[in-house]
Amino acid sequence: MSRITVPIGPQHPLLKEPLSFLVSLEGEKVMDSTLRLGYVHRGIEKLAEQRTYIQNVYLIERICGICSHIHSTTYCQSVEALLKLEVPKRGLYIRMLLCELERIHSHLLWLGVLAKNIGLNTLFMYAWRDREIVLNIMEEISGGRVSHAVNIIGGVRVDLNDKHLSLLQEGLRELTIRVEEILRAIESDRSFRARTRKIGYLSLEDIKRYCVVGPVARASGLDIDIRRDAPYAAYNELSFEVPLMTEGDVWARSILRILETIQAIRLCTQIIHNLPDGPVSVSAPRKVPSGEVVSRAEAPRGEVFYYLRSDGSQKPARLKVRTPTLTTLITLPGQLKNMQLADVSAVIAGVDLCIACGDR
Amino acid sequence: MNIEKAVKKLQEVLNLDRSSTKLMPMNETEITISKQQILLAVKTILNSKIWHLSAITCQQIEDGFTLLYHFWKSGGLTLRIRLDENKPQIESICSLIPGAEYYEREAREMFGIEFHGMPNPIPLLLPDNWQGGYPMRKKELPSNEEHNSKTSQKKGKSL
Amino acid sequence: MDNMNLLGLLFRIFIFPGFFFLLIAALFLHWLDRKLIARFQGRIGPPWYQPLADLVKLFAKEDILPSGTNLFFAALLPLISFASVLTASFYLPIAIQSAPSFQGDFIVLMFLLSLPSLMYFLAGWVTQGVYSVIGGNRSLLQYFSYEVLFLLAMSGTAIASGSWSLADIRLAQIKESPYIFPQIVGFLFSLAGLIGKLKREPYDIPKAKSEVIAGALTEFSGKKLALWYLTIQLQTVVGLSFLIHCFFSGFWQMSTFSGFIVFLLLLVILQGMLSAISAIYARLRIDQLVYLNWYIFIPLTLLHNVYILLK
Repeated sequence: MSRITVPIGPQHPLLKEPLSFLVSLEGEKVMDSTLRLGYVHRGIEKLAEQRTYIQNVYLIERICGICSHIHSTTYCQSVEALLKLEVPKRGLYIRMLLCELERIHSHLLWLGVLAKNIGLNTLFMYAWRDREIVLNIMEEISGGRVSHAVNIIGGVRVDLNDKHLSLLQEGLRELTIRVEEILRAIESDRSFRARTRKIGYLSLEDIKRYCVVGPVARASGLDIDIRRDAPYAAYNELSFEVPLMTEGDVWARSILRILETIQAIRLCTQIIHNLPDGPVSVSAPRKVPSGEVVSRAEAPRGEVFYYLRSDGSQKPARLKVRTPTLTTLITLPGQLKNMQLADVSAVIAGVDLCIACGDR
Repeated sequence: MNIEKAVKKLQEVLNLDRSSTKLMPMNETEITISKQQILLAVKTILNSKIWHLSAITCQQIEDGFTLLYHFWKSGGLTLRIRLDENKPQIESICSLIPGAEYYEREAREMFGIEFHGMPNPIPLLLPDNWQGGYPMRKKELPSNEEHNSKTSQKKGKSL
Repeated sequence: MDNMNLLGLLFRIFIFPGFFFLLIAALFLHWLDRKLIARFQGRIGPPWYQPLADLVKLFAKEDILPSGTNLFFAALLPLISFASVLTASFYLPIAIQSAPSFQGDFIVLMFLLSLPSLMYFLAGWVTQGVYSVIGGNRSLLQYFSYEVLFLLAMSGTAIASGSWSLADIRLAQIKESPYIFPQIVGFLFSLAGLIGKLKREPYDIPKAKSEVIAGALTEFSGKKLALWYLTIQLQTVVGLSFLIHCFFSGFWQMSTFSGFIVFLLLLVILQGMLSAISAIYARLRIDQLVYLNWYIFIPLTLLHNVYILLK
């Protein structure tokens, strides 16, 4: 049988961001695939070396349009560690609140993309409709729907008032109902199951070998979550569960992400109930003493990693960013092998790619 | 703790003295090893049930390059390796940790580090017809100065 | 043929129930479809003139095809499918009979309705794009499963009435009762077959956006694409009318105003069913579709037909 090569990307309805995927087919069966990044490479690591620590907070936020807050959180954490700054409790809580809201927003967005890719447009519309609730809350708190610019070195820029809290409570209550409804729907829907079960399987061994993180790893049974294993901010003061599945396919990843969304809603509720009083930030010096630091945080897609080296000046000497998308991208060719062309869309959506994160 | 055990094991296997190990902020331990020891060190780490490689950081310092291999298991473990300025090259660890492929490819493109035994030595982020040298380097090496001079001048202006 | 007769014939072909009426009905049903799906999904949906506006805009757009395409065939294929659907409509007694019924027009109608799918496959072949070819191949794969299902399920009515003529099927229903009651299973499977014909979700495999862009029509643009879209929209009306004729005749008197209203109502209800099915199900995979049709739907339909024969 002769092979044909189907290009998926850099412009393709399947991908919301540019990524080039060459899939070679025999009939409808995927025999091989090659992957090419770099279409949205902006050289952020290099740019960061030309800017001051404060300017970098805003640059770093532009790495990703979906998980912008977690990037600036991890960056600020590393700078604060070098400065030996103690961020006030209230500041940390607001940071965590935004992180968890972002997780809800990211997971619902992802669910919509997956649903669209397998032709279930109704679920896509529902998921994105419910996502509006979170976006509106975040807009009310920070003034931005996806780029919040909430973090500053030494704390956060905004404080929560009573109006925010009541809005949050109301929104979270509504969201709990909606998300539980979605969970019921996708657990019972047969056509959803038919398109996602046993698709894009990754075994626990593969996960370990490829150092995969986040929901994709947890859906294959690897119990890893930075929030619990190496708590940053004030996660050690909150109680939450880390959902775990063992099926390792797209279906498991979907259910797991919805369960995580429910946990994130719980966390948000805890945060607004236990919100400490006091200032939200401390002032930070412009110059950072020389040193090196490694900082990690749990983004919606998994562990995000920052390495920062300071040489004592106002600008970082080296900033390294490793995003969770890079770890899942590398598993894609393996997942796609011997799949049908129709499943390519489900697999690519299933790992929740953020190409802008991957390219930086 | 896994990390402490692994550090002890590493010191034992690689014959390192205590001065090679130091603590970094945020629960991170750092060990300096030489580049010939990399495969042995990674094997030792994998044997102590630490399989997660977070990233490989490459950077250019005054007189050479450093590679940092960041491992993680509820705590960080970083391997620090100095590379020679004129011939930055090292063994690839992709045979042990396939997940390291993209990190090594990135370091290769951005800094020009040669990884021996790399499975897929094609560009990852830069265009296929990229002529501009190694974008993340801070200064040019004496040997390829001529090759890069034109593009680096252009870059300097745009930045 | 005298003048009055000729005028009447032309009126029937071009105005009612011919081309003009079909066009209005097609655009209306298309709007209804989009509006209903939008409401099911919690959206507002387009205004009533949107399908017409889309069509006018597409007709005004530049017509581009990739180099190496056989321009003659690329122009011919949408025309053939358009013509075949229009011809099919003349055999269908929508309110009044346009062409005289004869023994076997049931089969002719079946054939005319399946022509566009073949043309669709050829369109993918002619334009040569990689997505077009895959889309065309998929449509052919799908063709064998839903076409058989559609024919078998629909022929239940012909078996029951003992004739392959549409007029006889109608007469038999008026004499006894509409076939929807005794043949509800056949009706449902016919609807499934029709969904496959129209390439609607969950049978929209040949034009799955996230996999093959727009399938065989990826490279088409401008007038030709507009003609393809119009064909599919007309096919919806004709297909649904065919179903109504074979399963619901006997509810109304032909060529009376109230009968016409009942017919339109049925059209709207069936379109509503199609929209609901589109909104509920995810797209099937080609192997799942073939399995579903050949292992479950078609054997059941055969059993159903045997039951009708024995009764």
